[in-house]
Amino acid sequence: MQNKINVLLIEDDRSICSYITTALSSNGYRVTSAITAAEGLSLCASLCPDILLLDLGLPDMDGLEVISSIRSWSSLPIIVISARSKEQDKVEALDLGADDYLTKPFGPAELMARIRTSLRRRHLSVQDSKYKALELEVDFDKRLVTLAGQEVHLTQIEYQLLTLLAENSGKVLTYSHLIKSIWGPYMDTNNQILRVNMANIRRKLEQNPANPQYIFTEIGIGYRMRENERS
Amino acid sequence: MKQAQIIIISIVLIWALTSIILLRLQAKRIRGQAMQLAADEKKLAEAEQERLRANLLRAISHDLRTPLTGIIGNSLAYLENTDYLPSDEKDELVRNIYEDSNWLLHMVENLLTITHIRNQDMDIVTTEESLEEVVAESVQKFGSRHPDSQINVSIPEEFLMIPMDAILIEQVLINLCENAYYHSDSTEPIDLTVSHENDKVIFTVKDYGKGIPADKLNHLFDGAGDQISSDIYKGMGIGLAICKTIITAHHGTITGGNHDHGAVFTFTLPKNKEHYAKQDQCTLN
Repeated sequence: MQNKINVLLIEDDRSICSYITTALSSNGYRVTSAITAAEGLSLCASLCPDILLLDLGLPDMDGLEVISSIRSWSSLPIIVISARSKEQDKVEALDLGADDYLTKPFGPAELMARIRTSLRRRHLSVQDSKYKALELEVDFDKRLVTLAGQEVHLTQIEYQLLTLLAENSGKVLTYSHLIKSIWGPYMDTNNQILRVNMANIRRKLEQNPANPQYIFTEIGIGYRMRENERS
Repeated sequence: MKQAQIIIISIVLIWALTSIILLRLQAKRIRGQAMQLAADEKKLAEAEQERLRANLLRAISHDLRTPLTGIIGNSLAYLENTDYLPSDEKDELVRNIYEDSNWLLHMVENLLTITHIRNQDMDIVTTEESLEEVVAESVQKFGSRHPDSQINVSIPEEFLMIPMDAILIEQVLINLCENAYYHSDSTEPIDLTVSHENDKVIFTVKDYGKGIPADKLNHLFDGAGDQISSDIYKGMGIGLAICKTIITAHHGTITGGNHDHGAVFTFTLPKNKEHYAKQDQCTLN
C-alpha cells in the first residue's frame, strides 16, 4: 500500500473546502484543511505536507504573507487559489515563490492536473536534458530544437527564452521573472521586447500563432509551456 | 516728408491693431462655438451611456432570475423527493443545477468585466497588448469551456500591438463565440478572423447556422433581446449589450447581422495613432 500524498488546504470558505476535500479524497489524497492563515501555518510546520493549496483571501492574514512566511523555511509546492480579476495578486504570488495558481471557479479535473504537475516538477531533482511535446523536441545538451524532425533556427535570446520555459514546462513564468533571467536585473520592466521575442518564437514553432500548441499566454501574468511528455 | 511717414506708420499700426483685435474676437467666437459643440457632444455621449447603463441593468436583472429559478426549483425537487426519485432523475436534476450555475457564472463574469470600466466616464485603462496573444487566450478559454466546439482562427501575419483592456476584449471575443456556439443551432466550425487597416483592427466572428431572426436584428445590442423571450435566446441580450459597452469605451464600433449562411458580428478597435506616427518618423529618418 502506497503512502498517501498529504495535501494541506488553507481556505476559509466551507463550501469550497468541502468540495476540494471530497474531490481530493476520492482521488486518493489525504487532505487536512485549515480555515485561517495562523492555523494553516502551524499545520504546515507540524504536518510537513507534500503540497499546499492556499486561498489568497483569508480572514486573518494576507495569503501573500503566508507564501513569504513559508518560503523562508520551506520549498514545498504551493498552489494559490484565487478569485478572478486580480492579475496583480497572481503575479505577486508567483514572484514570491508560489508554484502555480488556479482561478475560481475550477473543476476537479483541473485541480488534479495542477497538483500532479507541481508534484512531478518537485521530483525532477536532476533536470532532464530533453524536452518533448507533440512534435517539438529540445535537446538542452546539444542546444538543438527540432519540430517534426526539422531543425528550428532560433536567435540566442529566443533559444534562452524557449529553454527557460521548457525547463519549467507546465508552470507559469511571470514577465518579470523571464525578463530578469534573460536580460538581467537592470532591464526596464516594459515587456514589449519580451513580447516581440515571444511572437518570433511563435512564428517559428506554431502552425497558427493565434491558436498555439506549445506556448500559452496568460495575459497580464506571463507564459506557460506545454508540459514535457518525458517527465 | 517726416509727417507723411509718421502718418503712414500710424495707419499701418492702426490697421495691424484692428486686424489683431478682429482676429481675436473671431477666434473667441469660434472657440465659443467649439466649446458649445463639445458640450453638446458630451451631453449626447452621456445620454447614450446612461441609456446603455439602464438597458444593461434591465437585461441583467432579467437574465439572473432565469437560472436562479432553475437552481432553486431543481434543488428543491431533489430535496423534497429524495426518498422515491430514481437515480437517473436525480442525476438529471443535479445536471440542471450544474448547467444553470454555469450560466450564472458566465453572466457574473460579464458583470465583473464591467467593473473594469470606471463609473461615470466609461473610462478604461488601455495598455499596448499583443493582438495574437489576446486572440489566442480567448480562443483557448472558449475551447476549454466548450471542448466540443470548433473554431477556425486567422490573424494578420504581422506582429501588432493594439491599445486595449485585454480582459475586456477577451470577454467580447468569448461572448461572440459563445453566442455563435449556443444560438447558431449548428456544429459547423466558427470563423474568427482578424484583419487590419491603416488606423484600425477588424475582428469578425462568423457562424454557419440559422442566423439571427429578423425581429431581433434592430435590438441586438440594447439588451432588449430577451423581452421577446424564448429560452433558446436567453442571455444573448446581456452579452451583446456588454460587448457594445466595452467596444464603445474603446472608441471602436460593433455591428451584427446575417450573411448568406448564418450570423456575423464585426467589431473594430482603433490603432494607437502616436505609435504609428512614431513609426513613420522612424522610417523617414
